[in-house]
Parts: sequence; C-alpha cells; structure tokens
Amino acid sequence: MGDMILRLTGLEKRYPNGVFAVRGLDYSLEEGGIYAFLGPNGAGKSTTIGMICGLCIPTAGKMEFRGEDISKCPSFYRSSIGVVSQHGNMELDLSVFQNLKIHAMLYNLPKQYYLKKIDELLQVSGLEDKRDEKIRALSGGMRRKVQIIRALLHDPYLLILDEPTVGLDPASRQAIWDILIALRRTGKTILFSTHYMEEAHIYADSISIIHQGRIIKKGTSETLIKDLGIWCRIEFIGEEKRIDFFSSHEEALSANDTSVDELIIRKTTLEDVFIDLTGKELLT
Amino acid sequence: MRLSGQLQAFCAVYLRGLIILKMRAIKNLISFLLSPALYALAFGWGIGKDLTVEGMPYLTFMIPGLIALSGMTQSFSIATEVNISRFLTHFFEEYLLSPALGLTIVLGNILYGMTKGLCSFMAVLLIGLVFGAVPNGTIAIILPVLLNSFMFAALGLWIALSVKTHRDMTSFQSFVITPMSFIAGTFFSLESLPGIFKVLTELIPLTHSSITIRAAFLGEQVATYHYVVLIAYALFFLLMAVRRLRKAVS
Repeated sequence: MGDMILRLTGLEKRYPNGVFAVRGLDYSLEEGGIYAFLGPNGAGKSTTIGMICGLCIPTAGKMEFRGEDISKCPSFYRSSIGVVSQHGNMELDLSVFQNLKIHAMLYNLPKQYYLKKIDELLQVSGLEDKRDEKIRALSGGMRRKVQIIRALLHDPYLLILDEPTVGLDPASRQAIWDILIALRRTGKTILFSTHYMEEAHIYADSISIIHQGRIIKKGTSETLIKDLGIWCRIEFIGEEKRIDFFSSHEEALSANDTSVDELIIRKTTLEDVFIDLTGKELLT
Repeated sequence: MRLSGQLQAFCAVYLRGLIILKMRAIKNLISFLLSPALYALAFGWGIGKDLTVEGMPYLTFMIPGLIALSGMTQSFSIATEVNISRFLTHFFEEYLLSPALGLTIVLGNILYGMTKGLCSFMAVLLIGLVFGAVPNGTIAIILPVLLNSFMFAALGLWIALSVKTHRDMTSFQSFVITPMSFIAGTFFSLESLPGIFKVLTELIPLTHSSITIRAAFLGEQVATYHYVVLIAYALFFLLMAVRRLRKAVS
C-alpha cells in the first residue's frame, strides 16, 4: 500500500435528539488497499460511509483527503471519489446509458472520453448488450454492476461501497467481487462496509469492526484472529456453552475438562472475533 | 469545478427532466390539457356562459387565470418527482454526491419545472382558442408566464427538499396549493372581495401571476409592482431551495 489517501480524526455524528451514530472515530486509508467496515445493522457503518461521501455532515471532527482538509475543497474531493450507494440511487425509468451519461455530465467529463469509457466499462462488466435497457428491467446484480461502472466513470482515486453485495445471490456477489479485485490491481483504493463476514475475511487488507458508533478493533483478518487466539475451544456442559481461545492446539487440548458433555476444538474464525468483541452474531 | 463544468452539470440535471418529460409525453399531454379543459367546460361554457366579469365575457376573464393556475400546478409538480427521487429511488443522492454546486442542481430542476409550466401555458392557450378566448396581447405574455413557472418550480423544490415524508408533501398541497388555486384571482375578480380579504390575497404569489398574465393576455397595462412582487417571491423561493439542498445533506 502507498501514501495516505484519507484521514478521519475525531469524526462524530450526533443527531439533534442527542443520539450518537458515530463517536470519536479516527481512521486512515492508504492508497491501493481494500478496507472493510464490519458491523451489525445500526453499528454506524452507513453513517460513517455517509460522512466520508459527503451525504451526511459530521457534527465534529476533521476529514483530510491527500493531506487537504475536505471542507476546504469539497468539489475536488467529490470528483476524486466514486460512491456505490446501498440504495441503488439510479433513475429506474432511464436506460443504463442515460444514467451513465447524466453522471458523466455531472462530473463534466468530455463527451468523447465518456462515450469511449462507457463502452469499455460495459464490456469489461459483461453488460454491453444492456446499454439501452432500462434500469428497471435489470436484475439486482446487474444494477449493482451499473452502479460500480457509474462510480468508476470519472476515474476516482477512492471507491466507496456501502454494502455492495447486500441482497444479491452468490453468483452475483462473486461477479461484483471479481470486478473489485480487478480494480485493486489497477491501484484503486477501495473502502466497503459489509455485514458479510467472509467478504471482509477474504478481500479486505484491513478490517475495522464498528460497534455502537466506534471502531473497537482494527487489523487484518489474521491479526484479529491471532490477537484472540487461533484455536477455539467450545465446551457444552448441560445447557451451558463456554467458549475459550488459545494460541496453540496443545493449549486448547490441555485445558480438557472431563466433566463436559461435548467438546469442540476448532480454528478461530473472524465471526468468533466479532462475537467476542460485540456479543452479537452477524450473517455469514 | 469551473463555470463550464457547472453549466454541463446544469444541463445534466435538465436533461434528466427532459428525458422523463419525453418518456411520459402522452400522459403529460393529457395532464396539461385535461384539467384546464374541464375548468373551461364547467365554468366557462357551463356556469359562466352568459356572465361578464370586469366588462368581458367570463371565459375571456378565466383563461388567463387558468394559464396562471395550470402553470403553477405543472411547475410545482416537480416537487413530487423530487420526492420520489429522494425517498424512493434515491436518485437525488447522485446530484448530492457530484461536484455540482447546490445552485446548479436547483436551477437545473427549476428549468425542468419551467418547461412543464410552458407546456401547460401552450395547452391552455389552445383550449382558450377552441373555446373562443382569443388573446389580445402580444408575446409579452411570456414574461409573466415564465416568472410564474420559475416561482412555483422553485417553491416546489424548496418544499420537496424540506418535507420528511411523502405525506407531508400531500398536506402542503392540500393546505396551501389547492386553496391558493381558488382565491388568487383565477376564477373570480378580486375587486368583488371585501377589503381585508383583498389585502390578504395580495400576499398570495399566484394573485400577482393572475393579474400580470391577465393584463398581458388582454393587452392591458399593469402596475410594475406586481412584477416586482413576482420577482421577489421567485428569488426568495430560489434562495430557500438552495439552502434546503445544503441541508438535505443531513
């Protein structure tokens, strides 16, 4: 990974009723990495993403993009990021091309450039035959691909995706990730939020676990697991279930207790880390 | 983004409106024609056939009022579309995420509202001709028609960006737009109103649209003050819409 691309310092979102959606968030992204925000619904992921995109104004804190205060150059910043919203945010009665053309015009792209780029991106995504289809006629996976194409049209430095694969079937999810992985190879920085554990585990270089508006743990999937203990020992005694973590298989075994009804020793997963930190289970 | 970029973004916002207008051309044409035609039929030919108001046939009096009313309704109707794109499709986010300025987005939407208002103007003019109400005025009628549509498109945008739900929008239409339609000199002469009510109608923007459009339609002179009020309202609504757009980013 390279230079610092985005830095958030003490970012906070407090609603007029006094409720904090995000509190005191410090975070930074380096160029070329894939970053994940992992958390349950209501954890503050979307609000954080919203603040990073400029759709939600922080009540406190500072955001810097490539060392520049974002509030001092909002137009430049918006041109430098591509956003794939969870909501779809496309005009359903307009065609794929019309949606993309409007985006290109909003970003003041030269006509010759965007016409070529649209064809190129549609081809790469396997949507070249859907160019004149209305968005309404496309499947969820295709719509998400169009959103990604749209977010890439102005060639942003940073691609931000809010729950990019939510509601999609496994094949469509894989197709979306194929595109994102290919993008990473081109040096794009990618930030995504998800509540799918395995997506964060497989694809992210850095995972931040968000709970109650705070980043409670940050690291690679491996370090998060290692910090907890790579072996997980689950004991069932009657109705009771007890979970412990150990750094080696031997340790996990040596803690053997003959009074247990059932014993499972297995490798620790990211989900174990998450549950240990938040006490909540996520979708896998 | 420089001025040329803002102009391009303005065109993008307007283009989206034009595509939708074209896509629903038949439905729009019916909506431009139907209500004014029914009003002209019921009040012009039906009730008002043998009536004269301010020394002219009632239909001739009513058609300019209908131009103002229909222009208001059609220009204000962008509010519903903005609401759909805010709450349902979330397309409005696309504007807010872009480097376009708030003013650019607002003006692009207003021009779309004005286009709808102008279409309705032509539809009512056509209905008037069919029913025998021929304008005596000149092309000068375009000015108050444009001001009327600008003002109500800006109002529509302001309200659409202010409401929290679709239901709030319906309430605004029921409590503000519909009553305004009937008490702003559209269907009857304000001269007949008692003093205090006459003063109150002066506060209603549509009143000034009706007065200026009627004067231009009949080829008469009208006090500049009415135009000043229209411009003041238009600028106020524009300012409020731009302000609300910034707050739409919550």
